[in-house]
Amino acid sequence: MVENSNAPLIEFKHVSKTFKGTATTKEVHAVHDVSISVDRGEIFGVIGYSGAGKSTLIRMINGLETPTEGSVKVDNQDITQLKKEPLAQLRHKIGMIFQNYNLLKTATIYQNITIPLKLEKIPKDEIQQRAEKYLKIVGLWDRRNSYPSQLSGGQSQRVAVARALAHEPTILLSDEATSALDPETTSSILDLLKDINQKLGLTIFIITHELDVVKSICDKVAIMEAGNVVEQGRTIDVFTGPKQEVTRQFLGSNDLAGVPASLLAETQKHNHVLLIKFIGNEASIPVIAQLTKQFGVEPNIMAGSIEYLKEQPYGKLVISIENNDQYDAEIQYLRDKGVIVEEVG
Amino acid sequence: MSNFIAEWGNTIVNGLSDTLTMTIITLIITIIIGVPLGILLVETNANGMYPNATLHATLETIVNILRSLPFIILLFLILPITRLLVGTTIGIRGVILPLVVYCAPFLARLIESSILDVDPGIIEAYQSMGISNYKIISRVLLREARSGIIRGLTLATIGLIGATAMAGLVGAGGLGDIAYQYGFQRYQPDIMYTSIVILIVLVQIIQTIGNVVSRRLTK
Repeated sequence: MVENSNAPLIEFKHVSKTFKGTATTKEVHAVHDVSISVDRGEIFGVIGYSGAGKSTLIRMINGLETPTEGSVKVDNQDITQLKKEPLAQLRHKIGMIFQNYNLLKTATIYQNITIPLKLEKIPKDEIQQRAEKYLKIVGLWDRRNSYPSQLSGGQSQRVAVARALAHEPTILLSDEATSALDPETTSSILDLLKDINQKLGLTIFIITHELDVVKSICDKVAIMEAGNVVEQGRTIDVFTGPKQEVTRQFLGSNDLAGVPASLLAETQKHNHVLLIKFIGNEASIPVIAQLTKQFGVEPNIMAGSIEYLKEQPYGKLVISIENNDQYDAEIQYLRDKGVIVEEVG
Repeated sequence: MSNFIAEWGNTIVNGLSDTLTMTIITLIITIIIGVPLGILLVETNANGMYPNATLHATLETIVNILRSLPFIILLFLILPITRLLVGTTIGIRGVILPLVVYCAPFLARLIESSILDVDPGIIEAYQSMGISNYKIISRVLLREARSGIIRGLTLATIGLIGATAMAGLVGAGGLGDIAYQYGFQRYQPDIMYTSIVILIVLVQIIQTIGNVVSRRLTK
């Protein structure tokens, strides 16, 4: 691939995809006017419920699906304009992993890595080197003579990752790769992905319906609903300041960290209840202490949580402040201190 | 016992040899035709790699027609074609064509279903790696389907042995023919039973080999 660090590595421009209806099926607008750009070295996540068009979207990056409108460029090449041979060349540079791993069950782990390389006519000793290197990276070199049926789900996905890496790709596509795994295995696979993103500089494009995947490894995120990207941006921005109602719902950004509805209603009779969001640990508690000093109010902390968005702490506090005439000034004060404040309605 | 062997030994050995000759030659030609036909049935279908509605419908029709004819009918129905292509309609030479025409569509269906059993995700994974459809079919699909293919071949071979028994009608010989000619028409039950036992043993051996190989190829 041509190195060109300024241009985005993957670029969707006004992409739509419509599946024509047949006698028995309706026409489906799977993707509608989507524009996304993914920079080199980034982990980009697309999140949405099933049927939102995520699968179609990811398949347009390596030409398994073609857009009905718009263009998809990978490394400045319009994927829809590529002839068979250059498309095959490009696909060698785009690895993909799947929910069901898609390993050959008639082949050993080692053969699962080497067979695709053989089919690409890579020299034999090179194949052996790569198989060893990448099976070691995913920690399964010892299991190389096992068959997929003898491996757990997490191990199978590691083999699939090694198979993808063995082509030495620049991009890794992950199609719900952790959706069939338990939470613990999921986080080990996500750690692996984060690791190869950092060590090998791979750009990773992920589609998922799991919020935790986005939270733990994605630099940027796009939220998809019914074929549309409703919101996108840096993960931390989208989480702390979602603009669309759908996004709020999806990200659970307005959930009150476990405050029961009855308590909320009771409290709101004489208090304002505020949801405060902040990035980083330091901002929160001191601000509330200063509020007390400045205005003489005594906020009551009802609930709180801290989550990590790709290792960056993102906190929420639910506080109540007794009704008083300086309320507007107090809110403004908090906002000036750089925290996000919303009154709970 | 030794009398029996001295009197009928040669006949039975010749019959076995005729049966095996017909089976092996037919099987080879059947594989050459049936396997690609099975692949075509899968890949010309709407969700195959080379969708082609016309070709698919044509193949479907031909296979279905041939599959609906009992071998004995087929044998006589295509006599003129056999004479035209092979030059004779009798003997082992005369019976190979009808046997192939009978067996290949059957094998094609078995190949079709074993290929359809392969997870479509595997095809997608290999396509995503930039590997050509031809290589995916020949090196990936057939490999993954191999234990099903072996089971299908076993089934087709046994069906084929059954069909060769009727080949006696056009003078092709074989164990089935011996059982019928001597055992039934001339009422010599010991010959009939001997032929039948040999056929049973033959089928058992083939089935056992098929099972073992198929199991070893699944993983």
